[in-house]
Amino acid sequence: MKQVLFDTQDVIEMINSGKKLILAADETQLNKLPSGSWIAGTTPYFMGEQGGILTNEKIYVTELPDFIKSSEIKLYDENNIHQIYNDAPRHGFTVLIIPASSSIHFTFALNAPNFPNFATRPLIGWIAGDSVHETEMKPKIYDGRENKPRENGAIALHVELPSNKLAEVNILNIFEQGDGDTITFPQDGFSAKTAFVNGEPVNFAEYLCKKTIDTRLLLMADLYGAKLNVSFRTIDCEHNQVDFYAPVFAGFRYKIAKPINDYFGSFLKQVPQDAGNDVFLACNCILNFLYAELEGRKFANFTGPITFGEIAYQLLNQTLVYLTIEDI
Amino acid sequence: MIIIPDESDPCWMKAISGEASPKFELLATKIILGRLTLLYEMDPTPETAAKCVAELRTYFVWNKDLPKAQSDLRIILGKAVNN
Repeated sequence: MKQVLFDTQDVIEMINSGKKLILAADETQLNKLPSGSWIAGTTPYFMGEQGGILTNEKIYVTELPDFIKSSEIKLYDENNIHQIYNDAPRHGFTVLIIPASSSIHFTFALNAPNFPNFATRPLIGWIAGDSVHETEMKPKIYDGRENKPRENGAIALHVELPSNKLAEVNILNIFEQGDGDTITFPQDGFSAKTAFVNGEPVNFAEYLCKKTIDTRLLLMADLYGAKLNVSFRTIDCEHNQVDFYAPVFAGFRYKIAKPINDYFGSFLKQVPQDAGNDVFLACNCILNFLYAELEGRKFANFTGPITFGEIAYQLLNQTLVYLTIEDI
Repeated sequence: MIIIPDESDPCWMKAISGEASPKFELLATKIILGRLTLLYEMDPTPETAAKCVAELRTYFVWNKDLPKAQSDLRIILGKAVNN
């Protein structure tokens, strides 16, 4: 398996030689990098070539291949993030990195499905984060042209491919919808007090507490077989509020996912036979890293940053997302 | 090459009305159509229908050269033929 985690000095040399890079690392390493054609987001967790790893010392490197036709780095804010799909190349893909808990994180999560030309072109990316042991997370993104950490904004790399190459976004989700109640919400949001359970309004926190829901499970919507997860952040029965890591959307029919006995084994079972061969970029959720105890364990041929929200056209949770580039 | 019918073709309305649950190939098709069928279900007015149909058709226009999108489009066109 090719090397993906590098020492900072190696990455400095790559940047200085003009390579176009997508990077992930702790900010102590990213702050040492020179200006160049790169974008980055913070995380100290990775699916490395040797397995899952937590490190502040290494940088995860994805290098744009020589065959790409063109690429453009673009920084977005809340006023223009809705243009992300319009700006994407007609034939290619876009990588997007957003810092966790920033205002643009919430803007993107809540509104991406309504952006002009939503999902018309491949968009993949992740939410940058920090060690889960930090009391106050300070996730950052980087625009390599200016090499200045930012705690808000979204950094994108638009990549145009030649006509004989094809990019495709896909997801790997170990969960299945359970057979229980159908849950809908009256409005979009990262939190909910009220939900409709089988059409009847309920205090959602109270409902979950009564059901003694395992918060490692999640809410799941099934859109023609695309399983979209929303993870529980907190269930506060005292204040009657449930918070999520991604928004729930009004009208979507959610169910609590089925329990999983062997989290890691379930992941391995889901991996497509040919997975890894054409994968250009992948990222996996921090909750999968923790619950599947991925540290020190190799996960098929997938490598990539461990992230705090995954983007496959829109924000997802507890999902491995990946982008393949194939010959056509 | 598949010809993408215009917005007046009944195949689009059948798709966004969610009459069937076919197995599509592309993740983007699943997400877009899943969202559009819900939008139409929540507000089944001619205005919403027109907006959803336009969005779905635009998606296929943008992706008409992708083999998997062509396969997904065939399913949508096939629904119109079969129903």
